[in-house]
Amino acid sequence: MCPTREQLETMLALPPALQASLEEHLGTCQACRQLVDELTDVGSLVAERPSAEPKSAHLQRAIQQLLEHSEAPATVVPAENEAASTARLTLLAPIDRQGFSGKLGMYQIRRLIGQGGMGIVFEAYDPLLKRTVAIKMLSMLTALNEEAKVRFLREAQAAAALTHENIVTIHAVDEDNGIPFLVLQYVAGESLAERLKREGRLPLGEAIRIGAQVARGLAAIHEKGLIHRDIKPSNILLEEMSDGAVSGKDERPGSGDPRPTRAQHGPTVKIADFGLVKNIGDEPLSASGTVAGTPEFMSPEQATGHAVDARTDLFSLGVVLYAASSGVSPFRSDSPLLTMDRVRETKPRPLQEVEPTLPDWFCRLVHRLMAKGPGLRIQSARELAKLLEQSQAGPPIPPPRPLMSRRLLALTASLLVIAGLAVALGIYYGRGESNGGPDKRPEPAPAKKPAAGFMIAGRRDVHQDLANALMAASDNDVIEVYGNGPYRTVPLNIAGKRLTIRAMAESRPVFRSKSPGARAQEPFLQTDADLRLEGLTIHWSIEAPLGKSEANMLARCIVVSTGGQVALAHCRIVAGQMDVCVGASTGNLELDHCHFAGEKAVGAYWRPVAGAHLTADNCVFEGRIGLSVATRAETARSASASLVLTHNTWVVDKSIQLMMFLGTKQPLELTTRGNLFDNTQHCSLIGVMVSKKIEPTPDKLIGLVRSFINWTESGNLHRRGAEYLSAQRPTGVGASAEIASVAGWLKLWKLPPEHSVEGDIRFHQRDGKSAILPPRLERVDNESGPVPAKVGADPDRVGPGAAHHSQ
Amino acid sequence: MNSTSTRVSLLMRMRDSQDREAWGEFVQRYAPLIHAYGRHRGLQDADAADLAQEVLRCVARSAAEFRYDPARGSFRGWLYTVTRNELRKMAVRNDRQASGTGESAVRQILEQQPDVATDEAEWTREYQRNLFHWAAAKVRPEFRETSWQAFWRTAVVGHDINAAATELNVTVGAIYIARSRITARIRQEIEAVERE
Repeated sequence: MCPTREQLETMLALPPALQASLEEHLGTCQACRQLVDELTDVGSLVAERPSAEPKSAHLQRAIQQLLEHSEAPATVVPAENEAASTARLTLLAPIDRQGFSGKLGMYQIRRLIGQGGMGIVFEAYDPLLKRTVAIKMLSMLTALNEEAKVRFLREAQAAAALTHENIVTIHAVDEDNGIPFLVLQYVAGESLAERLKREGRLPLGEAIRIGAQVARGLAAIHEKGLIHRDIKPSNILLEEMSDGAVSGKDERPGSGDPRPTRAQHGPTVKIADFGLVKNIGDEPLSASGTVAGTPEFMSPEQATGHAVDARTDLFSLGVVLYAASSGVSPFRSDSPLLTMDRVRETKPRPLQEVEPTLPDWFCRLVHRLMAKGPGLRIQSARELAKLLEQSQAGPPIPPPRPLMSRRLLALTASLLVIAGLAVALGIYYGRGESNGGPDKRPEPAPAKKPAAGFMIAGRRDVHQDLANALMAASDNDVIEVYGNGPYRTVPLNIAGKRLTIRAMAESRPVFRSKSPGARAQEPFLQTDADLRLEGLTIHWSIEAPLGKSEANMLARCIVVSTGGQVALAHCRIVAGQMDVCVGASTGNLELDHCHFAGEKAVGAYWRPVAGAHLTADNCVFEGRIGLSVATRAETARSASASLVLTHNTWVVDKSIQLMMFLGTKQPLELTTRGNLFDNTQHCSLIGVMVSKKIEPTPDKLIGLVRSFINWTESGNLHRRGAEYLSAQRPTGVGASAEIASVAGWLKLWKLPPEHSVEGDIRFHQRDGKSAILPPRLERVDNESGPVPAKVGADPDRVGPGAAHHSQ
Repeated sequence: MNSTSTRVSLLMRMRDSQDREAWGEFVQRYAPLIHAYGRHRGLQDADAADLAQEVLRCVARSAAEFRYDPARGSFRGWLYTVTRNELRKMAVRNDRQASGTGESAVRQILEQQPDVATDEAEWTREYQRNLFHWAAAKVRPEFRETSWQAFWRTAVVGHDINAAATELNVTVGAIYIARSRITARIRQEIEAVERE
C-alpha cells in the first residue's frame, strides 16, 4: 500500500535507519517516485542553474587578495570540525533494514506521534524498564544543521536538570548512529492545541487551571536560569488521568464559568519541547539574529530579534490564555511576517470585546501579560501562578443541592473568584469601576491593608512615607501604595535595588515635593537599577542648571535611572519649566498609558546603549519636546537601538520639535503607528542637533537624518502644514527641510502615500492658553477628513484615563 | 513587507568590522557572481576578476554606512547597482589609459549596453546560478560521495536514474531519497541566504 503525500513527506525526513522500507517501496512504485519528485521539486532548484564555469585562476587570485586585504586573522573560513563532519557522514551511512517501526538504540519504536519544525516524536517502548516512553529525534535535515544539533543537545541538558510536575520529564539522552535523541516521559492525552481545535475555546475555569500549571512549570524553568521561548498550545500537554477523567468533557464553553471545584480533577498540565530553551547568559545561538519561536505566540522582543529574558514566556502564556479563553488567536494572520509585525506593533483587540462573558479581572490580567514592554508585564511566573491559583482557591463549594442548579452554582463561584482576584491583582488601572459581585468575600491575605501608606509586598509593616519604604525594601521588591495622598516627599535616591512602586486597588496616589512652592534640588526618584512605576501621579520641578550635556539632562529628570531599565504604566508626571519627566540613560524605556506634561518640559529623555529599545504606547506628550534621544558617539555604528511609538498623542506647545535627536552616530530604527502629531508650523516632527561648523542646507539635513534614522510609519495623523524636519545649532535654529505635505514626508522614507494622513486637528477641551491638557481629552477632530482608525487621539486611547479622574 | 527580524544578518555582521568570518563568507559567496556577470558582459577573465575585486572592496567600504532596507529593494538589486557603477568606472579608467592608443575594450563593452531589463534579468539568473553552486559546495561535505553523485548525476547533469543506480551500485529508491534529501538541504541554505 502506498503512503499518503503527508506520510511520504514525513518518511523522507526520517533518518536512514528508518527509511529502508521506503527505499524498497520506491524501487518498485512509479506513483510514489513521481510523488517524491513532486515533493522534492528538483526542477525548480536546478533549472536555470547549469554547471559553473571551470574555476578561474584570476577569480581565485581576486578572492585571495580580498581575504588577505583585511587585517583578519587567517581563520577567515572556519575549518570544518573534523569530528563533526565525521559524525555527519555517518548519518547517511546505510543501516540495517529495520523499516519504519524498528528499533532506535534499545527502544522499540511503535508509532509516529508527531512531527514539528525540528524533530520527530515517536511512541516507543523501553524493554528494560518496561514502560512506554516518547522519543524525540531531530529530523535528518535538521540533524545536518550544526546549530540545530547544538540546540537539540541544549534541550537535553536543560530538560535533564528539571524535574517538576508540570514539565515533561526527560529520562535519558541517547544516540543511534550519530543521531542524538531524547527519551522522554510519555504523556498520554492531548495537547492544548488539539483540545482547542476540537472545542474552539475552553471554559474559563479550565483556562485558568491550565494557565496556573503552566505558570508553575515556567517558574521552575526560570528558577533554573532557563527560558523556554516557545510556549504555545501545542507545547502544552494535558495528561489524561488514569481513571479516564479528561478535562471535563461535559463542560460547554460559553458560560464563562470559572468552576474552581474542578481544579483538583482536571488533567495535569505539562510543558513540553525544550527545543528552544536557552541558558540565560549563553551566547545567542545565531549571531545572525535568526528569529526562533512560533510567530503567533512570540513576544515582541523575540519578534524583533532582541535579547529576551524570562518575561518573554509570560507574554507567550498571555497569548495562550487569550486564545484558550476566547478561541481567537490575537495576532494570527496569513503570513508569519505579518504576524510578527502585529506582535511588535499592534494592540490585540480587547479580550472582553472578543468574549464578553469573561470577567474583567481576567481580561486585564491577560492584557497585562501581553504588554509590549517586558517591564510592564507581570514580572515573574511565580507571581502569575499565585494570582491564578488565588482565583481558583475560593471557599469549597458545597455539594450541589437539588434546588440549586449547576448554573447558579457556577455563577456563585465565579463571583467569589472575581472578588478575590480583583483584590489580589491590585487593580489600579482601566475603567476603575468595582468588579466585585454581591458576595464579595473578605480579603484573604493575612496582612491588613492600610487606608494610606506604603507596604512592601509580602511584609507586614506599614510605612508612612515613601522614603522609609524605599529604605526597608530589598532588591526586586514591590512597594504597594495605598490611598491618594498627596504624599509630600524629599528627593529620593534608590541605589542598587530593582524596585516596583505600585498604586494598589482604588488608590490614585499623588506625590509632591516636601517644600511647597519651591523647586526641589534633585529628581523625585533617581536610581541606577531597574525601576517600574505603576499608577503614580507626580508633580515635581527641579532647580538645576540648564544645559544639554548628559549630566545636565539627567539632573533635570524627575524620574530617572542611570543604569537600568525604566517602565512606567498609567503614570502622570507634571514637570516644572525645562524639566524632563522621565529619563533612562542606559537601558530600555517602556511607557504605557502615561501622561507627561509641563510648560517647556521634555516628556522623555533617552540615551540608549546598543540594542536597547524604547516603547511608548497610548501616551500623551506635552511641553516643549516630546522625546529627546541622545545617541552615543562612542557606540559603534552597527549598534542600533529601536523605538516603537504607537497610539501616542504629541501636542507639544511653543516648541521647536516633537522629537529631538542629539548626536548622530547610532542608527535608530523608528516605528510609528497610530500617533497623532500635532506640531504647529514652527515646530517640526524631527529635529537634529548639528554642530556649529555645519551650515545645514535642506538637502544636507535630509541626508543627515537618513544616515542614522530609519523611519517607518503607518496610520499616523499629522497636522496640515506642519514641518517635518529641522536642524538646530547650539546657537539657534539652523534650517528646515522643505517638505510640504505628509505625502512628501512619506516619500522621503519610500513609504506609500496612503500610510498616514494630514488634517486640521482640534482638541475640544483645549482652551488654547494652557500648555497643559486636562487629564483626559474628550475628543479630537480632523476637520479636513476622517481620523484614521486607532490614531492616538481616539478618546479611548488618549491619556491615562480613569486612573487620574480623582485629580 | 518590512521585517526587522529577518534582515541582513551577514551585512549586519560585516558592519562590525571585527567579524572577519562574515567577510570571508561574503567574498566567497559573491565574488564568483560578479565575475560570472562580468564574463557574461564580455569582459576578459582577468578584467572580470578585477571587477569582482573592485565591487567587493566598495561594498566593504560602505558596509559600515550601508543600511539595507528591504522596502527599498533587494540586496541583490543593490549589489547589481554597485556592480554596474564599478563597470562604468572601469570603463572610464580604461579609457584614460587607452587614450591615444585608440580602442578600449571595456569601453566597447559598455557601449554595447543591453537594455536594463535584459541585463538585470541576466544578473538575476547569474545570481541564482551562483547561489546554487555556492550552496551545493557548502553542503557537499555533509553527504557520502555516492549520495552526492546520485544527486548530481541525475538532478543536475541529467543522467538516467536507472543507469546511475547501476553505475553507483545503489537502488533506485536510494537515489530518489538522496535527491530529495540533498535538494532539501541545498534549498535550506539558499533560503537562508535569501531571507537575509
